Amino acid sequence: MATIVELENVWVWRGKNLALKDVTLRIEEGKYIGLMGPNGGGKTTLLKTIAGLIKPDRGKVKISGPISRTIGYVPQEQRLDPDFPVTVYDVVEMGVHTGLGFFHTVSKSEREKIEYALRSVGIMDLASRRIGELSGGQKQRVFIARALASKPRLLLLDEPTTGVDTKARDEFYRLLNELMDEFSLTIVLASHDLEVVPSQVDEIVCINQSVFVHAPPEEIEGTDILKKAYGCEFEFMLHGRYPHRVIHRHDEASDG
Amino acid sequence: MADTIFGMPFFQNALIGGTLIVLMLSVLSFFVVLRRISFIGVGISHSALGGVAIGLALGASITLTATIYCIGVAMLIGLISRRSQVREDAAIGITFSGSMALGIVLISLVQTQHLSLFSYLFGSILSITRSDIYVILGYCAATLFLILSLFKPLLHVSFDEEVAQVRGIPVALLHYLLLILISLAVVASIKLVGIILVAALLVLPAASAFQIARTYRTVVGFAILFGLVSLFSGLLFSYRYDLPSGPSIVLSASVILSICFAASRWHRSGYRNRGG
Repeated sequence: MATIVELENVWVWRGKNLALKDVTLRIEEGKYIGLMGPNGGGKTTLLKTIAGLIKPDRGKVKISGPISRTIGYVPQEQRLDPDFPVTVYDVVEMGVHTGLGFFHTVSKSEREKIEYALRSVGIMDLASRRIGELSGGQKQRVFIARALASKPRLLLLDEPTTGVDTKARDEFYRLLNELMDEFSLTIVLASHDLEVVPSQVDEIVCINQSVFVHAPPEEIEGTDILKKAYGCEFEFMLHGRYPHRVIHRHDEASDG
Repeated sequence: MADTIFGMPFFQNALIGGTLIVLMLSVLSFFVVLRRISFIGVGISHSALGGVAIGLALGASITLTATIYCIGVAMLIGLISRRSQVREDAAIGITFSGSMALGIVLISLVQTQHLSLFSYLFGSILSITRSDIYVILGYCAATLFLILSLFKPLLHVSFDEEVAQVRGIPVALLHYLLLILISLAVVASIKLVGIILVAALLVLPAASAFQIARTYRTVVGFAILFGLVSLFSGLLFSYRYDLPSGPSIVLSASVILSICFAASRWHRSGYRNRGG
């Protein structure tokens, strides 16, 4: 299987703090990767490094193609100005523009891409609504449609279910599975949602500065690898690609 | 009154020059408000006094020295705001107060009876000549061409800088370009609006439009309309009561903002009362 992203011995400092320490990672095309780890463990830094937003201080990042044509990036929930004067359609249109593009007008093929992306995530009826008027779950779909409008091969999602209610979250994971097949995507989903993500993905990458493990969820289940990364114990269940919630089991000592 | 003053060459010059200036400032004000960089506008505009004074001291073209000086200050502020550990507001405060101090010292040294510091600070309806209009026209054409041709990338960067960067849009270049365009608009506006108050016109037209418009196209349209209404009413007010033109125009724009703000509040409270 072809490699779409390869990181070799990547080190990143954010100010005086070491964010990524000697990260080596290979992501194969067509895989659904769950990027997990504790808060501040480097998930966002890793995604931004792959997206070209952060240059590594040491090491190499190789992407199989130009970033603007290969990667669709959905950042962590933004503190969006509710009065920002753009509609859902305007936001998704941003996904088809690359570079400076003097006097950019939307061509027929670009309009088709925008409408296809809107339909794929089920928000065509919201196209003329102002972005600030939408719920958290609806906004997340808009940002995914914006990423899909560029027809990327790799979709990077940073904590996409933050601030989204449980029902919308379950629908969201189903949608990702559908989109993965429809757009032939490779997905890297950063999340600390241990309850659901392991049952969804092909492989888990667990990171806390360094990569602790990169393996299918079945191989991690029952091991203490996540405990080492997170500093406490977790359990997750694997029953196919349907969301299941399992209550965390912390040590009695740590609960107390 | 209107028949009389519209026939006067100085008023015609003020009207033509003012219209071009307001077009520039109103379109720029959309991005200044959207990107929350109004204090950068204040920094660049107040610093212009340093550039004006250098021109006077050297006997060179004031427009040229003010343009070079303002662009230099804009680049410095832009660099600080993107890269430095220094707080942006502190850097702007130091830059503009230092530039104004330099300007006042130099102007005091070279002051003649023909020179009025007051008119540079607050604008004068009498000061715009026919040759000034050609300069303003050049600055206006360059500014409007660049900002309208790059409107969508600028909008994207203002909405989400990170995704814009992933899409290959040169985010830093657009930030600096916007600051250069603000510098050009400031220099073109010095004679009519004055150094102290031009920053207000980099905010007020769009701030008013944001109260009542919902899409970026209508915000820009209303910003231009409000800018022009402020100009015409301000110039008439300035002529009628023999007041400096800058404060008259800015006061008109402030009245429009108050009306828009009240209309917006009234609309929202009515919407809530109707159970919307």
